Amino acid sequence: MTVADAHLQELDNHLDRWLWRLRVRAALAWAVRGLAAGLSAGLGLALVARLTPVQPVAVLAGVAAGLALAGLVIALGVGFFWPRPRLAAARHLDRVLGLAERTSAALELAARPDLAPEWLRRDQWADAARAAQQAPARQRLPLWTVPLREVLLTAIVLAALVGALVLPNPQQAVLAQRQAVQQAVAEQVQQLEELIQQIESDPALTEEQRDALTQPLEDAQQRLQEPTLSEAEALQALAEAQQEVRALQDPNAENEAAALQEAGQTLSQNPTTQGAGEALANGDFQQAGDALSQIDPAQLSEAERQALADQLEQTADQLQNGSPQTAEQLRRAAEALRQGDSQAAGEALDQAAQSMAEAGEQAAQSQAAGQAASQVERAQRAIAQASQGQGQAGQDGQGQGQGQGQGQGQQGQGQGQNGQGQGQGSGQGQGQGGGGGAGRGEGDGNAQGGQATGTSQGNGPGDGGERAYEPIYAPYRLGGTDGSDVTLPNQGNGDPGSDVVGQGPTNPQNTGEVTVPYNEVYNDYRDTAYSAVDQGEYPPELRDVVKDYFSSLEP
Amino acid sequence: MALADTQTTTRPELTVPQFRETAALLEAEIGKVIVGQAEVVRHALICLVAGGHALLEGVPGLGKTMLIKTLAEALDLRFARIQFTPDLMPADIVGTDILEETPDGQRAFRFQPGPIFANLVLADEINRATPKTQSALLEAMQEQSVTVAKRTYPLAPPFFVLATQNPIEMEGTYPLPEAQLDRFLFKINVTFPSTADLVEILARTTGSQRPAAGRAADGDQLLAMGRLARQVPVPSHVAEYVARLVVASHPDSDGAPPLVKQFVRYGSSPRGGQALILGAKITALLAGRVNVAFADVAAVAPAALRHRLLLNFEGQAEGVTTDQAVAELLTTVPQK
Repeated sequence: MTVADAHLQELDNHLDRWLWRLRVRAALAWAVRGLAAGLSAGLGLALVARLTPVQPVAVLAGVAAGLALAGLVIALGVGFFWPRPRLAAARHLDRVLGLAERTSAALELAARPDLAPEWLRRDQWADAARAAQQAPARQRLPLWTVPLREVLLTAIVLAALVGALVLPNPQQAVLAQRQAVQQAVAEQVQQLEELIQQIESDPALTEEQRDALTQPLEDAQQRLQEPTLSEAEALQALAEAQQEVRALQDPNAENEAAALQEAGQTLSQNPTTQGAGEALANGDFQQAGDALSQIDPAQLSEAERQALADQLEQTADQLQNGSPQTAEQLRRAAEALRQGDSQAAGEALDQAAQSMAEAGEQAAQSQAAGQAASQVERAQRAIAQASQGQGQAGQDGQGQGQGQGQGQGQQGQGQGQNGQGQGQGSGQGQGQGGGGGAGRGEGDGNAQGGQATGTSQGNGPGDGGERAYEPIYAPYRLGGTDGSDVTLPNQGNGDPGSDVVGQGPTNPQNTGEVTVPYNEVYNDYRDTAYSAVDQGEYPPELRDVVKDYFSSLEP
Repeated sequence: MALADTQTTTRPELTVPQFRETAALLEAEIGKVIVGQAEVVRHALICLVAGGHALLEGVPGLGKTMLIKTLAEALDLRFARIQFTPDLMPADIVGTDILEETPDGQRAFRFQPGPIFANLVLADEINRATPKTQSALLEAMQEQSVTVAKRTYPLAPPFFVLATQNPIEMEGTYPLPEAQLDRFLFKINVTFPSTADLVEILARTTGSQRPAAGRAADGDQLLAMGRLARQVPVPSHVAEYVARLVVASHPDSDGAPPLVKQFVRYGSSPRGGQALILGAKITALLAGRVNVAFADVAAVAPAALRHRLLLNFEGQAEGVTTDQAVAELLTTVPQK
């Protein structure tokens, strides 16, 4: 290596060291800016999360930290590895270090030897190397050159981000509520799946009955699995499924089955019908029917036929209300037995057996439908409770007391039965949930069994005096506990304690002596209320209130 | 990087230290006579090394003529002084053919060289002569030759014209035309000395002994210094900066600063760029450097450009100087 080469090499080494310092300095400077940019992005995200539910605080903090770290690392890398041509860097360093363009001139002379004679290049390189050695690189190229204002700005952004994450955020409660609802929906989807499997494996149901029962459940299950499902939509889907399943429920079939079961005990007292009676009492209608159809009156003695006829008549009387069709067939069988017409008796017994089997199938379907409806109802309640629970938790008790007094003065509206009687309520109930809800009013007339659906939840004192309200289901406020109060239209004059005027054809002269069997009107009232719910006359959140109310009154 | 004239030079006839030593010796000898005025002396020396001509402007009595005479003494050059007056004729400068009788009785014209035939010509108060007479210097300054009666006579190198002019006595003067101004490498402003310098001047000039400058170099050394200076490499970005400076001095260029756009009528010619580069090369060598730096360009920019910028009427009316325009150029044109 010649002396000139040594000088040039020395200059190159200096240049390498300066370039490294330049890269580190740029990396540090840009790292602060990248950190500030990342923190700013995180701050923007945190601010958005205060306006709309985005993610939980922990996730937001993680994302913000990730953004800040990404900004830091990316800027660090970009600052350090940003391409720096040596000649351009040499020119910059000449200015920064006060080298009077020695370094850049040396590089150009090295690249193009024809620009100057060899001796002059040698002199220039020696001069440049000497100047480079004396260059105050540490003083002129400090590694940390970040302006204080940038550091302060970054610190301010960081503080703002921490504040945005740490300060109470009402959207977090909304988010928690939404997640709870989603979790509840997921659980209920699983519950529906189990219910469907249970129905499909029920041997008491026919294939058509299984399909009829599982179809609405599967539809609801499918709708619940939609990704953008809202709480209202989930409740709507379940409500529709419940309605469809409930439509398959036939209380008469179950009553008939119950009556048949009771009749089974009577039948079991006769040796001839003992098998059928015991099967009937055990609820095995198919076996009972089989046993009954196997009775051959021709094989019986006269005494046995008479005894059987008596037994069948007694059973027919017993089934007159519960299963009139079976009762009629048994009565015809008994009459045929008394007349000695074994063939007619056998045919009548066969028909009775078939009726029993059919009643059993209907009862099984109705029972399964009832169970399914209850299960769907529980699913609705679970989703609603998940929403309500999280909403209340998110309010830290702020909702307490807001609903107090809202319902005061609201009057329950009694409905008299068959135009007789007046349902009256004093309307002293305390409203909850913004005045919406369900109440049970007790009229001071004779509208026994009448049910008052009121705009307030309360138990108005009737002639029986005031009694404690027994909550069926605690409704929640519209839109959560922090939702706005809703005043439903008052159908009375609004004065507390005023009478509730019953609807329906009433006779003012009649003090209300007429009574209606409870179980006879229950279905009508329930269906009417359910129809109103289905037609959207009630907010989705209050559907459960109506359903629970009727469930609690189910005979 | 500007291509240096290196092909003919394989060994240095003058090294950089020798260059600096000679220049320092010259400045020291001049300093014996001229008190202060270091920048004036430095710029005058740069002009001589670069082979250019200088126009010294200053009020009377500041030692302009003394400086040039001292330079001639220190360089051991043939010196001629021409006092320009309104009645000075071109022939008084370049010479003329005179009719002589030959020994054989014939009559013939013989060229009688004028004072221009010297190495160092002092054109004192050049703006007092008529433009016709001033233009007699044009060929000599540019071509370093004189043409009289269709015959051209070369001037012996080195040839320098150092002119002076008085900026305050404008009555009866003829401002130099732009073409002639452009032929001066530098226009050097001679400023009034400081109090300390004036005390020293008074002491030196009122004593019994008049200070004299010794010989520090000769014409050949001066030419060698010029050749060395032309070999100094100019980094390409510095050369580009010089070009941007020249372009930006034109008011219609995009890079012209506001002051130039408003008050300058014409910008510098390419000779201005040449003067900048040559002056910067010599400045670099005087600083002991073997490459041109931005600082070298800035050091010579006022002297190289001030007489090449022509102010418009508004600029003259506002009292704007070309030095202000040059300073604005140096401030605004980026050193990329």
